[in-house]
Amino acid sequence: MIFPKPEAILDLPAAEAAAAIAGWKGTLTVEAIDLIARFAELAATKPEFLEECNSRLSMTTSEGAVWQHALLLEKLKRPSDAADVLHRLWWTTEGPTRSSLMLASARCLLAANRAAEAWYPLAEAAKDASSAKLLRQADRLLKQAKKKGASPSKRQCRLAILGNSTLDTLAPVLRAQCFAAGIDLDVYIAPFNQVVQEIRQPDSGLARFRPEAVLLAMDWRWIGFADEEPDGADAVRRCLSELEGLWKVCQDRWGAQALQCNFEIPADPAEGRLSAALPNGRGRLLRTLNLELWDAADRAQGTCIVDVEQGSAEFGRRAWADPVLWHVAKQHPAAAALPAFGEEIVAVLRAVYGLTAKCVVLDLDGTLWGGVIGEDGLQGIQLGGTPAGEAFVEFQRHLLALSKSGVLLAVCSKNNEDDARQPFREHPEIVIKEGDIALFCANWQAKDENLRAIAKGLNIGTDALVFVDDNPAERARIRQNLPEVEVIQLPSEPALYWEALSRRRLFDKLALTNEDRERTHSIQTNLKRQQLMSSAASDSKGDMDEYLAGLNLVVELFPFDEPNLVRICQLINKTNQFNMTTRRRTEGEVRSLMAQGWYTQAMRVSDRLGDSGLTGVMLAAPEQETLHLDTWLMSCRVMGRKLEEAMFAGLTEYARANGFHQIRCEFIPSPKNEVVSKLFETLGCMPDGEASGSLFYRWSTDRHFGVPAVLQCSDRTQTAQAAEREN
Amino acid sequence: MPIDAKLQDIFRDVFDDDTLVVTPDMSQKTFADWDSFHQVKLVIGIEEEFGAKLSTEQAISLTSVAQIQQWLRSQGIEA
Repeated sequence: MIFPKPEAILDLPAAEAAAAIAGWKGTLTVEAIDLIARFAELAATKPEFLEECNSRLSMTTSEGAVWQHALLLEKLKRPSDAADVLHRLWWTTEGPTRSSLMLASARCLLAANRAAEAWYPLAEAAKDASSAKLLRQADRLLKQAKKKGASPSKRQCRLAILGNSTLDTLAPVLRAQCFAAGIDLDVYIAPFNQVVQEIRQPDSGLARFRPEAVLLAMDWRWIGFADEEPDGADAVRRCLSELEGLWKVCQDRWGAQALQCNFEIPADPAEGRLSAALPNGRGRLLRTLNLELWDAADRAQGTCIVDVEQGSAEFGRRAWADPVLWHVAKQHPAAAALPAFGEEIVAVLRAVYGLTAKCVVLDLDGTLWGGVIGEDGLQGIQLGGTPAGEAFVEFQRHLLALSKSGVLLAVCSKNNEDDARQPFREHPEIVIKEGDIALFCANWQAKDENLRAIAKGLNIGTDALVFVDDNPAERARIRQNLPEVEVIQLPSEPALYWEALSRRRLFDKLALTNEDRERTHSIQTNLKRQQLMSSAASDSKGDMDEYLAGLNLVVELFPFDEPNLVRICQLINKTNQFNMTTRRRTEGEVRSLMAQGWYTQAMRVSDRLGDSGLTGVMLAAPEQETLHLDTWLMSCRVMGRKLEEAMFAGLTEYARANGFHQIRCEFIPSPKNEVVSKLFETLGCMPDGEASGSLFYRWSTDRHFGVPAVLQCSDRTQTAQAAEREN
Repeated sequence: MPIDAKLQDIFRDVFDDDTLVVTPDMSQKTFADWDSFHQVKLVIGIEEEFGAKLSTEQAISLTSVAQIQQWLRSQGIEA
């Protein structure tokens, strides 16, 4: 059913035009919204008609009429009312029209001087935008919003983009996508095809921009491989060493993270399939180069690969390029491919800035299997066996792999707990086992309450949760009550569940650490520890030391080193609660502080229940006679075991032994670190004033601070760094 | 020939000016901001909005509003 054509109803009496719109019962599409906007445009030229039409639409509730009402209000110069009308659709609207809804909302809110309310719809618009056009619109509104208030982004990034094509068209798309991921992006686009000059010349625009990250977005033409190279191995080697040289300059001059795009395999090679078979064929050499790049980036430490090879293949190689606009204006990738290109880049930036999601919260009935376990019983649910059942098994396999890479799985289901657990214990086709689920929550309470409880139980923020539920009403409820949660628009087809979850790119990591691989297990032992602890607390004596002594805690303190740097930076960028200053830093920045002689301390912990791994980090700057504690954080998983005392003992001993008179301890209150707001006082430090949002405390090194007796502690930060300082 | 709202929106987007009023006599010659970079953005905007693909020749030569309107009409699009 097509929405009434604006021209056809424009000459009717206003009452009839309004009735035609209100009577429309079709599904709202992007095309229908176009017609609605056009009608508003035309009606605006007839003030009386506009006024009456609008008042007659004010009582209707169909989606099309609500939209029309809002856009007429906008034409009547009542943007605030228009925004309120659109707001009614915020939580329930899904699919391709969601982005349009959010853009219209943001536009009205900005026009009504309600900029602070525009951030949510702007982020939502960019998340769900399917085209470069929508992302550009989001970016323009974003610019307006930033003029009226500070962006709520969690991170800021100064990104320079270099390449051999016209990349200016990428900037607005990428800015909008980054904003949706929590990154406020400041972009510099280098002049066309000036990659080497910009990086190597000391007075280039790039140097003046002082980038924090440099995106090397050249395509295969830049390398210049012939269809068939005379000496392929040598050509690959030369290209690699050229790129490695550029990364090094970025790192050395600006401490900038190089983001290197690997290379798309061009469509339609002259040799056809032989391009990959011939030892020196371009197709083969590009594939070889791409593999080598992964290893080279790993060696270079601080360079990340943007996987254009995979991204362009997923998008479609022919569509990735636009031969006409390449010749006209050196446009590459094609305008239509820019959102897909941007997604690959954002996936890496999310990982660099520690903004990846931590936990997937899963519904059960209709999500992990078909049917309803409480009604259909173990034999009645769809899981394996049939084509529909196979789709659920496949989805579970992907989720299991996700959990093996360190993303936690939690269950949130409206069910009796025994019913909910039965398939995990007894169904022969179940893939995810109870041991793979960090937290199992089956009850009849509202899901938003359960999500809060899950976040609390896992010691993470609700903004680190991803919500997967086949029930649109539950999704709407979570959006409304916990807007910071990532809500996946699950399609009705279970075979497409995984794609819907995966393509939001919430989980990409720079590398897998041991802590990632062991995360679920470690969370579970931690829950066991908490049970032990609360039973110790409820004992007659309530003796915490006794409980801690029983854990056989072994603590190891050591200076930062290369093998652990990925994990250390993960902690620096992700830890929110036990984090004294919440200063975020990239690997490049940390490496440069190490080189400047800062005191660094990493902590590893294990006890009789298991190994908690690297879970504590300190960074302190030497400032004449003072050692300034710039960064101190600890994973929330190991809180409550007196480990902070061991870390502080290590710091004070180092300061004393190296002739510092005092330690200047810094605390920056954040919405999430309340738990440590009194820590420095508890440790016995003296308040020492405040400045620009920081509270300072002083520790005089003539005092001694001992390691708690319940901990067995070895400290390698003393000798190693003292020796380094003497050199 | 009135200017279609979609075409107007494309120009506003490309020239980043929400108050821009497009007239048929606007062209690369009369409008200083209309350089080759804006020309590409216009071509991309037109292709996205109307679902049509321009040829190399058209992408270079459609440098006035009147020409763009004429081309759209030749594609069966009223603008």
